[in-house]
Amino acid sequence: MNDIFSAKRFFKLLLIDLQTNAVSLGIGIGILIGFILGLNILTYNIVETPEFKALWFVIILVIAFMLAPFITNLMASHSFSAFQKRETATPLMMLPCSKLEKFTSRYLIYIILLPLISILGLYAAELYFGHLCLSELTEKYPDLQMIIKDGFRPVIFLSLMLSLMVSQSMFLLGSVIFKKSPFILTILAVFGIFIVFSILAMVVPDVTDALKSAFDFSRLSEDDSSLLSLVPPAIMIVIFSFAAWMRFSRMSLP
Amino acid sequence: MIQFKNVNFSYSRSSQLVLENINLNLGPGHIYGLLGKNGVGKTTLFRLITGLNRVSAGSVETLGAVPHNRLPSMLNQIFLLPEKIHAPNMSITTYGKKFGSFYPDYSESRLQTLLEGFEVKPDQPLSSMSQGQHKKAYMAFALACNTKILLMDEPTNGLDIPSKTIFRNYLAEQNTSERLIIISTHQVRDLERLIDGVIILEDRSILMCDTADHLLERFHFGNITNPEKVVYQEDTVQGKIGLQSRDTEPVQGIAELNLETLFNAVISDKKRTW
Repeated sequence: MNDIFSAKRFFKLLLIDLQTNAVSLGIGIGILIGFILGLNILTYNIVETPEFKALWFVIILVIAFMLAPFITNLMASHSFSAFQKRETATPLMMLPCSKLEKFTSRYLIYIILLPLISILGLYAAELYFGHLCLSELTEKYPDLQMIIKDGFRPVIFLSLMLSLMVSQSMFLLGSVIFKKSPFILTILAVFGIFIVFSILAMVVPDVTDALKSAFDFSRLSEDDSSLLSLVPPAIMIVIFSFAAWMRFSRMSLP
Repeated sequence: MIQFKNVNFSYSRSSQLVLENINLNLGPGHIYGLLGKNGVGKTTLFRLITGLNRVSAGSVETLGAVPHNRLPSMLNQIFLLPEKIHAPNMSITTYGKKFGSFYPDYSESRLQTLLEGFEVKPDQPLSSMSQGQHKKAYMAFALACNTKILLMDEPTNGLDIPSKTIFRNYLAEQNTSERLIIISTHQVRDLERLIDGVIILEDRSILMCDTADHLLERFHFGNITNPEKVVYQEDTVQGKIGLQSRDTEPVQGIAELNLETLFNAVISDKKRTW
């Protein structure tokens, strides 16, 4: 028997985890897409002047890209909550699957599937809506045309996906560390780290400059710099995910 | 099957030891009763056996593996029935279909037989059941998993009298030469005729770990007949009863273990080597 990873056991577990979390995942994504789509349809039918239509489209786009991380991050911050309560943790920890299978199953749902579905949902509800309904405006407002066109570029999609995955992996780490109020405590922890780094940047400006130049892609061609800009978020995802795994693999019953 | 070597355990580095210098060697073919006062570490012992907690010092082996690694090959041969059980919003039949497949010897038909015996509705959501019904449903699932080690924490708490009888019968059926069952309980009378081994925990350590046969060879339980050989006695309405050292072989079929008396005897003389 493979004690580290068995595909058969993993897919069985993944199916159970998906079914167990189906309601909350459905509600979260439903709220997100419903809200964006509803707001768009309402605006499109109520607002008559093209200028306002274009403006509203951009406003909703901004709201959408703020709401999406909020909802998915909130869900990710509870991804391992069941392991933090004695009653729910006992059957989960006693389930005959390896630690890696238990971690990967939830990781796949919250770090890959959830961001992917919510971004695709956003595209369907916002960008595709703009592409279909506002096509008569895009010629008049080239900025709007660029926003919509840019949105469909693979590098932009990938960049959005990676950004969401960074915050998701951060909140997943928070969910493994904090037993109570993981969402708020993760935000506070990030805020705390940010303050520490800000102070550090003031005290040691050389380090800050070195970091800035390391991530300065302006000297490269546009495509190369876009692709290279995906490296820092990818590194952050790896760091947060590894920290979450290390913590999870050493977890005991609370 | 289970081996503890000089095990110490505390929940944090700064807190007091819950278990100290525990040495234990339990083999298959027995149903052990784990007895001890509240908060003495019975549940903790179960958590160390299953790897839900990691020992602070010493070593534990369960089915030849380090339990804290929680490898599937160990977990699929061990089942822990906790005292408080989470009730998911699904029926026990659905629960069995979902989770039973992780246990190689799980039997769906056995689950249905047990549920019928316990008079539990197989399609009622667990979350809408009473505590007793829910416990019986989960107990049926535990027995249907047919694992080599079965650990039960206060299984008879909240069960009605007929259910306790059914539980005892099913557990007796389950007892084979390949299986080890440990039951932690305060309801000693519920299990007196079922268990064939006793573990008594007190003051962070194991005061006694012995088989019922060996105890009956060593002690006479009941009315005091020879005051010179009294190990422990208590006054009851029927006169003095207690524990006395044996000078003759126990009569087969008549001698019975009195767990309450045994427990009181052990607790009253902790310095004795039991």
